[in-house]
Formats: sequence, structure tokens, C-alpha cells
Amino acid sequence: MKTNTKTAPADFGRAAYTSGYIKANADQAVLLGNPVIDNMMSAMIAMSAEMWAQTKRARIVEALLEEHGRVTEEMIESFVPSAAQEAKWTAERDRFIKRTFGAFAINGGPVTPFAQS
Amino acid sequence: MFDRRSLFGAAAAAASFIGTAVSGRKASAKIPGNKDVEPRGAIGRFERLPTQNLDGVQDFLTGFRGWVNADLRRAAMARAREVLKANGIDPNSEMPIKDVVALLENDPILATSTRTWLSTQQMMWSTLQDEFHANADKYLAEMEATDNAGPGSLELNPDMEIPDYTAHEIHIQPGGYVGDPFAGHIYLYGTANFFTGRNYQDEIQKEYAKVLPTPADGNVRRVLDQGCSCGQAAVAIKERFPDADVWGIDVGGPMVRFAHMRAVDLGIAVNFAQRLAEDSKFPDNHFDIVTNNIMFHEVTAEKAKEIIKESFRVLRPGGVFYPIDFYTGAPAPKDAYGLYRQWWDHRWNNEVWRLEYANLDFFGAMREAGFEVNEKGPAAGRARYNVVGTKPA
Ligand SMILES: C[S@@+](CC[C@H](N)C(=O)[O-])C[C@H]1O[C@@H](n2cnc3c(N)ncnc32)[C@H](O)[C@@H]1O
Repeated sequence: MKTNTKTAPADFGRAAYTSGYIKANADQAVLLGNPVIDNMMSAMIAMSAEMWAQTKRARIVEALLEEHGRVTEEMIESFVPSAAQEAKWTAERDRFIKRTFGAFAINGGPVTPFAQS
Repeated sequence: MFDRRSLFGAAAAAASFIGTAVSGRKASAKIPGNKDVEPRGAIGRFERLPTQNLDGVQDFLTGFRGWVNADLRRAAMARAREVLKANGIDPNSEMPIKDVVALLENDPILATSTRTWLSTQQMMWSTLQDEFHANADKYLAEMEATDNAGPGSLELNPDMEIPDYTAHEIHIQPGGYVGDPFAGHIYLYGTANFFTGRNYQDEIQKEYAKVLPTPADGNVRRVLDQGCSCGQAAVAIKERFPDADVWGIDVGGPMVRFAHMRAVDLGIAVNFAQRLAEDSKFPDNHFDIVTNNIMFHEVTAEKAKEIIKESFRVLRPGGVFYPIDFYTGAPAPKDAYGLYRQWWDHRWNNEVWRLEYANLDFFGAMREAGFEVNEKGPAAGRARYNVVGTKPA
């Protein structure tokens, strides 16, 4: 249930024009019958996000090496992909998502385990 | 402000603006005193996220959200139909929302779709908030340097009483619109993700500024955008009506502060003020157009009526009221799955007032306030129509 108890805003020691806010409680949601399973799903998504960020970084390093023969952190951070690279990597990202999480899109349906059919 | 480029999705990359967007160039950079925080440059209207890693994480979450919204939602809808059918219910029939929820809430396939969506939303917000909090000093200094700069103006009202109903963490945004110093930053980059890559150049707000109806006499000297958030619409409205005085108001101090900084950076003169839509402090008969985009579903039904009355008061005779939200262009869904989705957004996305809004006779409230109502006015976005209210001349 919602209460109107206010939470104090983060204070960074300078004027920020904030005021107290009322916290949502969705972070306590147990949707998959067991909070540990809910947390595992969140952890899987978080790990996949990190993994994709690393994959993309590797693509950037490859592209820079191909073009300049060397690579620095600064070159990586300031890299801007071309439209073609962007489209290619986005397609790669979407395939990665389907490959890893695709099973969840299977409806379930009425098929019973082999031993019972 | 910072910027990002690599968040463009495939669809956006294929869109025509990409040809004119200059790779990695700085935005017009009008932020004074060398305080511009833009380590990775800007693409058109968007500053790239400050690190390649955060950019990559948000890129994943954008793609993942797209997949959840498409494939997982499709599976969830199919499952909902099966569950309803198994209980002898026609999915298109009307039924009380609590009965639909009781039937669907605990189904594992539907719950998986909710869980993945919710985790995505939570991660989208928390990774952004983390960046701004970890580098708070530099982002605050950037806003401080811009607060008194032009073009345009900024009015902050730290002593204003913030009504409780506006203080919720709507759409589970951490701190909501009023409680985080970087609410504007977080909202802008969060919604870029939320719109799955389709709004990196403010496309939605530009489209809406384009269709904004004008008074019959064609005079547009003053326009008000209520609940302006990051000022994306107000800026687009100013571009369409360069000679008009355009105001964006919002209850959130951090929202208008960010909106002002962004408008200054873009070199567009809009006036932003921390004010309430229901108590806007503008004189009677002042504006030619009053508009708002997706604000009404985030206020109580009682306040929605007050905001409609206030809009009538500040419009001049012949002035036009153009609110855009879920049901200003199409009736609220009454079918079982539509009702479930409404409840779901309310419950899990903390859209606290959304169900009140769905039950409000919005057009009736407009008539009651004195507007002449055209329910089939020009469409905004994907709807076929949108309501337009005119203050009788
Ligand atoms: C979903 S956002 C609007 C998005 C924005 N109009 C756009 O086009 O991008 C809703 C905004 O309304 C503001 N708001 C809510 N209630 C308000 C009120 N009573 N007066 C002024 N602003 C309000 C919130 O602070 C928030 O920034």
C-alpha cells in the first residue's frame, strides 16, 4: 500500500531545487513466485547488458585498429560509429538478445511432459 | 550537457536525419564558463552518454525493451487469451478490472513479461542515476553556470509548496520529478530508452509541435506548455512560432532547470518556470495556445479538472487548448487485456493516477470549464484524432 511518507532527496551540498518524494514499492515485487527467482532474472539482464557493452567495446577496438593500427582509451571513448556500423551492431545486438533470452518468448502451451503424453 | 551517438538504433540510423547529423560534433555549446559537460560530443539534439560503457548498457536495455515489448508481450497476450478462454470469458468482453487482474496476475508467462519489463525499467533508471550522482559536482556546476544565462529564462521557486500527488516516483523514476537533483537528466535519457530509440532527436515533440492547432484568427503571440519536463516540446513549439513568447512550466525544479540548460545549449529562447499547471500565476486571457503532452495521466482526476479550468482562464477568447494523452485521441480500452495492461502500468510502473485518469470524463470536464470541444481535432502521433478545446470568442 502507498504511504505518503517522504524520502529526503540526495544532498550534494549545493542548491538542487529538490523536495521530499514518495517512494514506489515496485522494487519489492515478487512476480515469479520466489524473490530469489525474480532477482536472478534481474541479474541475468544486468549481466547481459554488461556483456553487450563489452562486445560493443571490442567491435570499436577492432574498428579503430583496422583504421589506425593503434588504439587508446581516449580513442575508444570518443569513437562515433558510422551509420553502417551502427546498423550492423544493432542487428548483432538484437540477435544476441534473441539467442540468449528467446526461450522466454515460448508460450508454454498445453504440451505435457513426454512421460505423461 | 553531454551527448551520445551510438544509441541510435537500426531504424533511427536508417532515418533521413542521420545524413545531416554530424558525427561527434559538439552541440552549439552555449553553456558559459567552460562548464559544458559533454565528453563524448553531441549528435544533433542529443548529447552522447558520457562513457562508452554506460552507452553500451543503455543500448542493450533499449534493444532488450524492444524485444520484451514485441516478442514477450505477444506471448503474454496469447497466454492471456488462453487463460480467459479457459475460464469461459470472451477476451473482448467488458469486465471489472479486479476480476481480470485476479485471473491473469499469477500466470507465469504473463509474470515473466512483467518481470523482464520491470527489471529493464529499473536498470535503465538506476544506471543513469548512478552516473549523475557519481559525478554530481560537475553536472551541478554545469546547471549553475546556465541558470542565469540566455537565450530564454529560468524561474525556480524553492519555497513553492510541492503537492504530494506530484511527489510520487511516477514510472518508478528514482526520486520522481521533484526529488532528484538530476531528475531532468535522468528523465531525458530514460525516455530515449523508453521510446526504444525513436526519440533521439525529439521526433515525438517535433511532430506534436507541427500539428498544434492555432486560433482561427491565426494570431500566436504566446504559447504555454504545461508539465514541460525537459522542454523538448516547448523548444519545438518555439521553432515553429519563432516570434511567439513560449513558456514551459513544470512542478519539478530539476526538470525546468535541465530544460532551460538544454534550450540554452541549443540556442533556443524559451521561458521555463517551476510552477503548477493548476495555479500557473499567469494573467487571465493571456495565451493563444495552451498545450501539454502526456501530463494528464500523471495527475489526480480532481487536479485534472482544476488544470482544465486554469487553462481556460489563461487562454484569451478564441484561444486553443490542445492536451495530448492516452485517451485524448481514442477512448480508454474496456476489453479484458486492455484493462489488465492499464492496471499493470499503474501497479508495476507506479503510474499512480493512471486509473483515475482512465475513468475521468475528460471531454465533459472540458465542456464544464467552458470550452467548445472538438473531439475529432487534428491527430497527434499515432492516434487518428485528438481533442481540441476553444475558448469562445
Ligand atoms: C510525462 S511528463 C511530460 C512529458 C513532456 N510534456 C514531453 O513532451 O516530453 C509529465 C510532467 O508533468 C509534470 N507535472 C505533473 N503534475 C504537474 C502539475 N500539477 N503542474 C506542473 N507540472 C506537473 C511532471 O513534473 C512531469 O515533468
